[in-house]
Amino acid sequence: MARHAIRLAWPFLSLALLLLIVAALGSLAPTVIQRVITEAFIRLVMVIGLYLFVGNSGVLSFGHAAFMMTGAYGAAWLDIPVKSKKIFLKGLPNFLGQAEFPPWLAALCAMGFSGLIALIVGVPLVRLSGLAASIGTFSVLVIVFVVYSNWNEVTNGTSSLIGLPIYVDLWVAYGCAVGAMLAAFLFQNSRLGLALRASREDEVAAKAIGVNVPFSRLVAFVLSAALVALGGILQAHFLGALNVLQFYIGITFITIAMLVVGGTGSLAGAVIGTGAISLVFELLRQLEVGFTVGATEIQLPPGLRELGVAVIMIVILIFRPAGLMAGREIPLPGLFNPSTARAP
Amino acid sequence: MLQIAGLDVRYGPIRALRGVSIEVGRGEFVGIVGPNGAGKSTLLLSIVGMVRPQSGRIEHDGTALMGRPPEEIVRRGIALVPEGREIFGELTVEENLRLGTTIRKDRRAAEADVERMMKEFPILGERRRGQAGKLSGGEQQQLAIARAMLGDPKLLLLDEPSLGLAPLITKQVYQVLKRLNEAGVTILVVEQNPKRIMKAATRLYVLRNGQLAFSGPPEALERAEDLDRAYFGFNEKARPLP
Repeated sequence: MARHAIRLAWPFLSLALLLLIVAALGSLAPTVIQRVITEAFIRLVMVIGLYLFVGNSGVLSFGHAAFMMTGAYGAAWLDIPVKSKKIFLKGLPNFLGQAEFPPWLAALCAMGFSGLIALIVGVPLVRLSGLAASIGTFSVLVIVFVVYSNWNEVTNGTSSLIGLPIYVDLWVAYGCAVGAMLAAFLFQNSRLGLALRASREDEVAAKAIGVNVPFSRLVAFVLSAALVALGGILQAHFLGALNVLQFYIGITFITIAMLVVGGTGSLAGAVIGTGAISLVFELLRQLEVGFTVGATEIQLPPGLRELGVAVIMIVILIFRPAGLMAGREIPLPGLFNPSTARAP
Repeated sequence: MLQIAGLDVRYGPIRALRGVSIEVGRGEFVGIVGPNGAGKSTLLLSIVGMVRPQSGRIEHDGTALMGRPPEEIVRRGIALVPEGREIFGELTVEENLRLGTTIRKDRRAAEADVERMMKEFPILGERRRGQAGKLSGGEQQQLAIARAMLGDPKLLLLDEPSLGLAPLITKQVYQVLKRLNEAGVTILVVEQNPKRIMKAATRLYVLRNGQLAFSGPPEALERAEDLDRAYFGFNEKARPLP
């Protein structure tokens, strides 16, 4: 019985364990490295949020950064100290301007708010498929970006918003990443998740067995928006500052690259892709900063990171289009696997 | 159970069905045969709401089906096993079967039925965790039928269930259908190859160029030249094509 439960939950357990090892090693490492790992965990929350929709529905979204934005600003509205709000966010309605929520409650409210926005824009979007759906989600991002960039009184416009409580460290980020994975794992194995995966393979055949494709997509879209929003919230409360440009093309590109490189077809793909790209990103950043070999100082031009990630994505798309994990989860060790375990 | 009258379907300038009227009674095993392009698949797709007819009437137990979305028609107890089977190849056999219960409200019984199906079709039980796309053609056909049955349909529509199958496998598939029919499921099968269906069906329609060319018991077509006449439209004995 216990073996059976472990077998069923293995795709999630294995990844949670893998991340635990990374976090434990990270906690022993210098602060700089801890910060890199924390950032990677935050990215992972975003990528898993994106995966929940893209991986299960097969519809690529270019718009999820919009929900990072609504999440991060939504949480900031609730947990920035009141006296800072009076300076930067004069336009906030009274019930927000006077409020100072504990960070966790602010985060939950902001996730709910983002889910609500996803519900509203999702109703027409989930009826689209393929390229039309992707372009539609991108339009949502542009709309949200333009609104938040210009709504000076409640977002401080294109200037940075500062004074957010900083509460995100390695273990908070780890906990959120594991929570996001659990949510995505439970969803993909639910009846709705299964129905959505069927529609990913063949929309017509899924309809023919009674799957309500728009409805399943909408549920996934809302859940995924809430998770992605959590990613945005974590990032804002990791840096303590917030800027609309944080949640635009750059993050859209990097999160999609992570998902595509790992493979959109499995939870393990999202995790491995995030890990691989985070690693490459960090190495290239070191090259940009510069290092010395003997007497010569080598410094590579800025922009190398994005360039490197783009090249990796192209190479993966050509040689391994299903991604590093190719839709598979982490295999079960023989001990728990009835088909490979030996008889005692 | 199912009444279709004066059905017209056009794909642009092509008239796929012209004034087709058929009827399927409760508990019947009805076959529709006809050459390639006769409109057989179009007819089935019209019933389940995936093709929109220009005119005519489709009624199920007195309710008009035309204009309703496929999900709703499935929920009324009409299941289609489409041509080429359309199983979800990337998903496992068990997941495919569970998908068959999408429309059911009695979850517990549905779960039990999934297990029962894997006993009824042993090969599906053996491969339950394997990718459905890796099954052989005959196994996929069994999976498609089992999946359709899990929706607990009252009327099962099958589009060329013998397509691409070895004769022995076809025979097995038809045995399954026969058993389902005896258990009370009404069956409507479309086939290009009339041999097997003539043995199984209680009533037969022949469809040619979008029109009905024959309807009646299969015995009436037993003489080969009668079948040729209905099937190909020959007036006299078979003669070579020009």
